[in-house]
Amino acid sequence: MKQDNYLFKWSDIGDINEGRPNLGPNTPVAVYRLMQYTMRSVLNREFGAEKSSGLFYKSGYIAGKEFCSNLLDTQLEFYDFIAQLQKTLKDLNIGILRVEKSNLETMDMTITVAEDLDCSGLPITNEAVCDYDEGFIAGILNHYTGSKFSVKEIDCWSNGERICRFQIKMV
Amino acid sequence: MQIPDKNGIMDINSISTLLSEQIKRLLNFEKCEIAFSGLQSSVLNIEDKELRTFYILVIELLEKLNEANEFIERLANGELDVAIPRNNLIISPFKQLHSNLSHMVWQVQRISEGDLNQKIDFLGDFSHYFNKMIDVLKERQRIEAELAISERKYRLLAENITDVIWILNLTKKQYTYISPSVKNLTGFTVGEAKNQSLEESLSPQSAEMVKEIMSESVKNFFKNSVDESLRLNDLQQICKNGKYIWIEANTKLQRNIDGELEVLGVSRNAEKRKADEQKLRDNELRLNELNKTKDKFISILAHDLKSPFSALLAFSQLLLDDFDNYDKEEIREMIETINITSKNTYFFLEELLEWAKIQRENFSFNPGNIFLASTINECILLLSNLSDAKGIHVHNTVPDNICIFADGDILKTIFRNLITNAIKFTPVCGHINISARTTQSMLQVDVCDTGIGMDVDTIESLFKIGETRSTEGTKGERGTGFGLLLCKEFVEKHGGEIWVESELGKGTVFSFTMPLCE
Repeated sequence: MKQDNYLFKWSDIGDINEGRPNLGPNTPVAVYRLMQYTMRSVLNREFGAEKSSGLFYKSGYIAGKEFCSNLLDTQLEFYDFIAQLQKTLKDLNIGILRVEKSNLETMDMTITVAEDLDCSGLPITNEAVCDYDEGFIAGILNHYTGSKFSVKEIDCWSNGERICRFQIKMV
Repeated sequence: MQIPDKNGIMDINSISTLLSEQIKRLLNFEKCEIAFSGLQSSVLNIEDKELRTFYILVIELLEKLNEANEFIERLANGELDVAIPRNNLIISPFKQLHSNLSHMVWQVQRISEGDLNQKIDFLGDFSHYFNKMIDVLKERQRIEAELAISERKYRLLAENITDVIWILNLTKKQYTYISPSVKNLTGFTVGEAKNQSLEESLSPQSAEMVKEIMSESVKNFFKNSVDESLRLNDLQQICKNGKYIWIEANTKLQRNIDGELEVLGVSRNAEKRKADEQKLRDNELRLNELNKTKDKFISILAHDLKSPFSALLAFSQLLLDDFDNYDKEEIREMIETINITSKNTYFFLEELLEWAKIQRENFSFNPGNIFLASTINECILLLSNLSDAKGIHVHNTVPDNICIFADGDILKTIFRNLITNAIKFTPVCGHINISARTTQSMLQVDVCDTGIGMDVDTIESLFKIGETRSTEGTKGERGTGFGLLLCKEFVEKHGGEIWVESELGKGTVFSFTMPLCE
C-alpha cells in the first residue's frame, strides 16, 4: 500500500472473489464501523478532532473519485447519473440517497442519505460525523463534472436526526 | 402575569404559576411565551440545585415543544421550506416525514420535466401506487415514442410521394386529410383543397360517377361489413388554373375513431396514361390507313408489272410461234419492243428497290457542300439525247457560286427525275428552265417547263404512295410513276420540301428546297 501521496487505485482493493471464495465480498456494517471509529479515535487523539475530520474528508474524496471512475457511467445526463448513483448506493447497502432540491444552473443541491452506512443508529453526540461521506460525495461529483464541489453535512443521525442531510455547492 | 421584585427576580411560586400557564397554553394548542424578562435569571437564582435543574429542564422542554408545534403546524400546511429545528428529538419523525416529502416534491418536479426514473420506497401504499403510475407513464412514453417514430415515417412518406393521399369524411362531407403532394398535382394548397367539396374538386361528370359508385360501395359495406379496394379510373380533377387533369384513384371505406364512415383514397396523375392511350388510338388509325395505302400500292405495283410482262410474253410468243414467217425488219422491231419494255421494267424495278431502301432507312446518306450549277449541268448533259430528240431547250440559270449542303448522288437523282419528267411532258421545241433563289437558310430550286401541265386531280395524286401512276409523255414516253415519290423522300431526307404548281396547257413548275452550305 502506498503512503500518503493519494496514489490509491481501485485495484488496490484486490480480487475479493479470489481471496474470499467461501466468505464472499460482504461483511456486517458493525465491522466497517469498528474499523472506522477505532481509527477515528486514534486520529482524534493523535491529531485532534478537526485535523482528524479533514483526513476523513480527504479519504472520502479519493474514494468518491475512484468509486465514480470504476462503478458509474459518467457519460449519462445529470439526472440519469443521479438515478444511477442512487441505485448503486442502494445496491451496495451504502445508504438511500434522496434529492430534496436541485438547481442545474448553479449546481446547488440538497440531498439526504437515509440508513447511512457511517452513522445511522449511532449514539447522539450532537456532533455531525459524516465527514467521510462529505468527501465521498464531493469526489464523485468532481469526477463526474470536472468541477470542484463543497459538500457540508447540515443534519446527521448523531445530531438526533433520522437522516443525514448534505448541502452541495459548486465552488 | 407575575410581577417580579425590584431586581426583576421572581419567586418560585411566580415561576411555577408562569410555567403552569404556559403548559396549559400548549395543551390548548396555543403558542406559549417563555421568553419573559427575568425568567431565566429567576430560575438560575433558585437555591435548591435539584429544583433549579428541574425548572431549567421544564423551560427547555417548553421551548422544544413550542418549536415542535410551530414546525409541525407549518409542515401540516405544506410549507416544506420551513426551517428545520436542530437538536429537537421530539419531532424527529416529523423531520423524517419532511425529508421524505421534500424528496417527493423533487421527484414530482423531475417527473413533470419528463424524467420517469423516479421510484418511491417509503410512504407505504402511496409508494406502491406512485410506482405503478410511473410504470404506466413509462409504458405510455414508450408507446408515444414508437408512435412518433411511426408517425414521422408515414408523414415523410406522405409528404414525398407524388400520389395524393386523402380522407373524405362521408358524414361531414368534407376532406379531413389531404397530403401535401396535392400542391404538385393540382396547384391547390392542402388548406385550399380541404375546403373543397367532392363536387368542387371534380368535374361534374366525374363527381356524379364517384357518387354513384360510392353509394353502391357504401351499401355493400353496410351489408357485408367488408370493404374491398375500389379503383376509380378516368376522373377529372379541377386544378387551380381552372383546367381539369385526368386522375385515377384507389379507395377504401373505413370508420374513423368516432365511428364515422370515411373514404381513404390515393389519387394519381393519369395524364400520361390518357395521352398514351390517345397516342395508341391515333397510331392504330394511322396504321390502318397506312395498311390500306400499302394494299392499294401493291395492287398498282402488280398492275404496273403485269402490263410490261404482257407485252414481253406476247412478242416473245409471236417470235416463237411464227419466227420463220417474219422478215428481218419485223423481227428487229419486235426484239426492239421487247428490249425497250425490258429496260423500262428493269428501270422501274431499280427505282422500286431504291425507294424500298429509303423506307427501311437502309441507304447511304453522305451530305457535303456541293456547287449546284455544275451538278445541274451534268444532269442536263446526261439527258441531252432525250431533250435533243424533242428539240427541247434546257436552260440552267443557277449562278456558279451557289453551294448547298446535300448528298451529291441523291441530288443528281432528284434532278434526273425532275428534268426527265419535264422533257417527257413538254412538247417538241419547248423550253425547260432551272433556276434557284435563296430563302432564309434554304435554297429554293425551280424546274419550270412549257409542257402540257396537269389538272387538279393529277396534282393532288402526286407524291402519294397509293396514287402512283405512270402517264405517257407527249411522244409516248413511258415512266415508272416512282420518280416523284423518290424525289419527295430524298428532299425530305435533306430537311427540305417539294411541291408543284401547274395548270393544264400552261406548263408546270416543280420546286424544292435544300439547305445552303454550312
